[in-house]
Amino acid sequence: MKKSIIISIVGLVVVGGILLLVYSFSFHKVSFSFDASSMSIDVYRRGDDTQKITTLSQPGELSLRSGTYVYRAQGERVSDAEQVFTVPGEESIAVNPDYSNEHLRSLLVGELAALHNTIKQSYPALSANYTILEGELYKKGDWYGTLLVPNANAPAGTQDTYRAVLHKESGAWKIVRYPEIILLKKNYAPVPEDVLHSVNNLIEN
Amino acid sequence: MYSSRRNIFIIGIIALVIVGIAGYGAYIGFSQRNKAPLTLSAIPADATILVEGDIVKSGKHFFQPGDYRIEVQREGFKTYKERVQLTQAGETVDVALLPASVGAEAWAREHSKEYAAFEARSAQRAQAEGEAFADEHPITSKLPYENFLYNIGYQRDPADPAGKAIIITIDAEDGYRQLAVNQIAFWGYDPSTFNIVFRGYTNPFAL
Repeated sequence: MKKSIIISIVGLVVVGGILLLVYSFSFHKVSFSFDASSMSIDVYRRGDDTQKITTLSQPGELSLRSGTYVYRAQGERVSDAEQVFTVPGEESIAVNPDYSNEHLRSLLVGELAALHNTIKQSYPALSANYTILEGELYKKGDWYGTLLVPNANAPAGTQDTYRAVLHKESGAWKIVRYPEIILLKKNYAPVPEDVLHSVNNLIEN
Repeated sequence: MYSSRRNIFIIGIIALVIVGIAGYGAYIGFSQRNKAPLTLSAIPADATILVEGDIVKSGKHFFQPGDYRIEVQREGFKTYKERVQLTQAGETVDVALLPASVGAEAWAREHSKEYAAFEARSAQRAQAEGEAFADEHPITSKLPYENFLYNIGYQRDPADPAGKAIIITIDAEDGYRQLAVNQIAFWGYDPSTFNIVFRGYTNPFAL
């Protein structure tokens, strides 16, 4: 009788141990690196963003079970756009979010004159026919898109609205390609797709 | 003893056959590696088929993808010439030579069923190609589109040697070109993914 009890207990311990091992092996370490002086990171299980797993205020590691997760940067100047990652799959994540729209708008104020001057100097003969709208900065403030809207007295051949993309390289703004009515992907390979999409969707108002 | 030898002999034969089949398969696989199928057929069946000047038989051949000059000829018939852009997907050249002499005309009349079958195959191929084209370019189901401000159409892109890419063409008055682009977006397509050409238009910034 005693023997059978001992065997049962040993069996239970072995099974329990195996289950514990399986459970512990289902966790994977994921390290997050980011600039803690400007942001913290909220981590959620994907599709259930009401259930925050944790907030990282310093770079570090998390043990996560297999699945799909999202993180959002939190900070005054950074975008809180969702970033998806899978576990296992990504062992180290360098968090480097774009700037927030508010921060980009504040940066634009200081850049606007240089941006518009770059366009006007590139097309001095045409600048009188168009009004350059304020436009938007993207990413980390190094991409800019705007509309060139024809003035009421614009001559024939200059009555369409044009789109321009500028990129900041070595501290100087440069027009990626001459302004066009629609920016085609085949002509703008170096421009990030989300920037191109945003510039193509700028509207006059 | 005799039975054992017989078994060894049979096993040896089977092994040889298997090795032979595997070797042949490997040879075929290796010789056709990175090549594309070009299927050739002609009416009359004894017409001479030339690929880049070399005589080949009817049937399936494997060539490196590229541009090929095909010629089909037979005495009394008009010679057929075509340039084929062979892609990895393969190509079919199915030709019915047109009679160019009294004798050939008589031959064609006697073989009218073969010509009728050729016409049916051609129609089937055209329909399949049309369906494949529509699948690849679903926007073409909306085109041509015309209103009082602009026309949107399409044409094959001459820069694409395979003849599969298209150019979206827009005819619009000055100041209304964006509306045509908006129409493409309204249909649910991302205009930036197309090759769009505005007809009768010069970009003032590109000068």
